[in-house]
Amino acid sequence: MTQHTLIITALNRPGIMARIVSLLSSRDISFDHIQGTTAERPDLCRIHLSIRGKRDRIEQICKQLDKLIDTIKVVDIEHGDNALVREYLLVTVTADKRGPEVLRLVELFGANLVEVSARSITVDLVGSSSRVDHFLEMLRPFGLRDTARSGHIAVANHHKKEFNHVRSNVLR
Amino acid sequence: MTGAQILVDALKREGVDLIFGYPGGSVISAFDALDREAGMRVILTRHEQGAAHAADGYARATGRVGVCLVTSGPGATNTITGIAAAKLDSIPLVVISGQVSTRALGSDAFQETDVSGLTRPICKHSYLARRVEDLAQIIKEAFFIARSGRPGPVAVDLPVDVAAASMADYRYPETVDLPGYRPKLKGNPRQLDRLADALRQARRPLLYAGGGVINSEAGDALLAFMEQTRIPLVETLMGLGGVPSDHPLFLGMPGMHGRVAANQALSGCDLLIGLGTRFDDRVAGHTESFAAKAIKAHVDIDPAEIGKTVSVDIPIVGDVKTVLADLSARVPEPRWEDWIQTTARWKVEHPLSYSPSRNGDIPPQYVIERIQKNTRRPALIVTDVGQHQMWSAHYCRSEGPRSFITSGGLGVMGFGLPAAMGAALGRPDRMVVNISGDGGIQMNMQELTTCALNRIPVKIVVLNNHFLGMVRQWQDLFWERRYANTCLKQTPDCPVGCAGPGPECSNIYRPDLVSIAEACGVPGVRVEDPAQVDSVLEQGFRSEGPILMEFRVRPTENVFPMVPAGKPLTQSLKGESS
Repeated sequence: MTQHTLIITALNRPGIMARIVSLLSSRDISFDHIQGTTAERPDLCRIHLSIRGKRDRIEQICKQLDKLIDTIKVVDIEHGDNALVREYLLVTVTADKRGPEVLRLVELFGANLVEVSARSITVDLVGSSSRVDHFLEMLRPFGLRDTARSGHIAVANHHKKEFNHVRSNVLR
Repeated sequence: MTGAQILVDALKREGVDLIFGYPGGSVISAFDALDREAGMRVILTRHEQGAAHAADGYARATGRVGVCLVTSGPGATNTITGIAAAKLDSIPLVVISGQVSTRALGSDAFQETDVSGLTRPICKHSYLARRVEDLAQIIKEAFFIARSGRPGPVAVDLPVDVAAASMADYRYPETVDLPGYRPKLKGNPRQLDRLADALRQARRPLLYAGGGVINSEAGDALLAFMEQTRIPLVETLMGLGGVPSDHPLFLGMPGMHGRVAANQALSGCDLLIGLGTRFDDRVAGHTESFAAKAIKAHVDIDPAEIGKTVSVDIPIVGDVKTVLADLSARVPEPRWEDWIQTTARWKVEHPLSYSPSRNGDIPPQYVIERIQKNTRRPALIVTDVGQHQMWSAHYCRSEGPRSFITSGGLGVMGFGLPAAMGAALGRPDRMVVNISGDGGIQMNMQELTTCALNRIPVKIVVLNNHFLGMVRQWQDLFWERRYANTCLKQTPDCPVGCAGPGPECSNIYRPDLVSIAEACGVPGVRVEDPAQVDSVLEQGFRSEGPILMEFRVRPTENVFPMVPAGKPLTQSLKGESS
C-alpha cells in the first residue's frame, strides 16, 4: 500500500465532481481526501484525489477515471521522493493567558497569524502532512476550537524520477 | 424552432426512424413533434421497461443506436433496468426522459426524480439539457458517445420548459469536440509484435472472443483469422454468432455452464488471446486458476477492461476488427496440430446431451433443438434469462453475428419479449424467435399487447417448467433441495420445506399463459405432448404475426455441465444427463 495523489484534469461541466465521486463509490473505492478547483483555463477544472492502495489497483482506478467522458488527463503521483505534496491548515486555538506560548510555536513552525481575538488565535500553515500533524499535536494542549485542512494537493517533481504514469487524451 | 422540434430534427439527422416510448406530462411536446414528422415511427409500449429493452433489442439486432423516449419521474425510473442491461453488455442506446421545468428542478416537484444522479453509475454518459441552445449539441454528442468506442447507453434529461423554449438560428452541429474522449482503434504495433512473437513460441494457443467481436462487426475477420492461424476458439455468451458453431475449430461457450472442451482448452492453453471480452466472473471467476499456464494477451477497446480482473501480459488497446487485420499480417504458420487434435477430441468425448422423453414428458432442450429445424429461414433468437438461456446458447446453431440476443451481463429476466419486439422491427427480413421461461415471460408480458396492436411478428416460445429453474437448480445442488419460493405453483396450502413436485401438486398453472396471450390479441397454443412439438413450431412459424407457444416441459431438468461458483473451470459437474 502506498499513498498516492491523483491529479485529474476535466472539463468544467456541471456534475463533474458528482461523476467522479459516484464512480469511486460504485467501484467500492475509498479515498482520503478530494479537493477541486478551477484550472488555468476557465473551461477546465482540476481535482486532487488522495488515495492509498497497491499499484495495480491505483492503475485500475486511473483507467476508470480516465474513462469518464469529461476527464481529460489523470496523473498518478506516488508520494515519496518524486512528488511535491502539501497541505494547508487553518486552525483556531484557545489562547487565554497562554497566548505568548502559542505565538512562539507559530514562529517556530513558520505559520502565519491570521486573526487574534481576546480569547483565541487563528493561524495558518502550509506544509507536508506530517508537519501539519506535528503542529496540531503541539497546539492541542491549548485547546483546538476549530480546524480546517485541505487534504493533499500535489504536483509532480519533474527534477526527480518520473512519476508513475499519465493517462491523457490530447488537449487541443 | 422549439426544443421539441429541435429534438426531432436532431433524431432524424442521426438516422433515427423508430422510437420506443411512453408519453407523460413532461414530454407531450416531444411526442407531438414526433407525431407531425413523417417517417418517424413511434412504438407505444405498455411499460417504460419494455421501451428500454425494445430499443436495446433493436440496437443489438441492427448495430444502430436504439432510442427510447419517456416521461419524467416514474417514466424515467422504469427505464433503469434497461439502461443497466445495455451498459453491462455495451449496447448503444440513447434514452431521453422528460424532466420538470428548470425553475422547479430540485424542489421535489410532481414527477421529479434526479435522473442524472440515478443513471450516473449505469450509463456511459448523461446529460441534463438546461438551455435550448445546448440541446442540438447534446443530442449530437449523445449519439456519438453511444455508438463509438465501447458502445453504451447515454441518458438525456430534457426539462419541459427547455422543450417548449424557442431559438431562432438553429443549425444541427456537424462535429463534436470531446477532448476527454478519443477512442483508440489501432493497436500499438509494439504490442502486436509481442503477440506475434508469443505465437511463435506457443504450442497451445486459444482465441477467447466476446461481445466486442459482435460490436465491432468483426465476425468475418475473426473467422478469417481463425482459419488462417488454425487457432481453436471459444466464444462467450455475448460472443456467440461470431463464427459458425459447426466449425471444427470452434469449441463452444466456456464458463459456468460452458462446454467441457471449451473449459479444458482455457485451462490447458499456453497462450490465451482475449478478443473483446471482459474476463467476466462467469468465465474467469476463479482468477487464480484461470488459464493459469498461459501467457495472456487481451485486445479491448476499453483500456480499463485490461487487467481489471485477470492480470494480462500483452495488453492491446484497440478495436478488435482493426487489430485482427493488423495481426493477420504478422502471425506465423500454425505449428499446433497436436493441440487442434486434442481439443477436437475433447469435443467428441464430451458432447452435449440430455435424456430423451420419459413417460411422455418434453425435455426443454428438445424444444430448443427443434426450433431452428422448423423456422425454414435463418432465425434471430432472443432469449430471456435462466436455464433456457443456457440451453439456447448450447443448442441453437449460429446464424451469424447479431443473431443471438441475450442479456448477458445484467441477466435481466423479462428482457426477452420486449427485446425481441425491437429486433423484429429492426430486422423485418428475419424470423425473430423469443425463447423465454415461464418466470421471465411474466415479467414483461404486458408487451404482448404491443406486439398484437403493432403486428410485430415475434414468435414466442415459452418453456414452462413452473419453476424459476436456474435458482431451483442451485437449490437442488447447493441448498439441500429446499425449493424456497422458486415454484411458481406455490400456494399457502403447500407443505413447508417442499422438496419438489409430487403427485399431490396441482396441475393448474396460473396465469393461463395461452389465455393471457389471447386476451392481449396474440394467438396462443399449449403443447404437453412431445409428438406435437414439431407440428406446433412449424405452424407457429408459418403463421403471420406474433404467436405464443407454451411448452409444458420436464419440470426439474438441470443445466449441465456446470462449474459451481468460485470453482476452477476443470471442476465441472456433468450431471445425469450430459
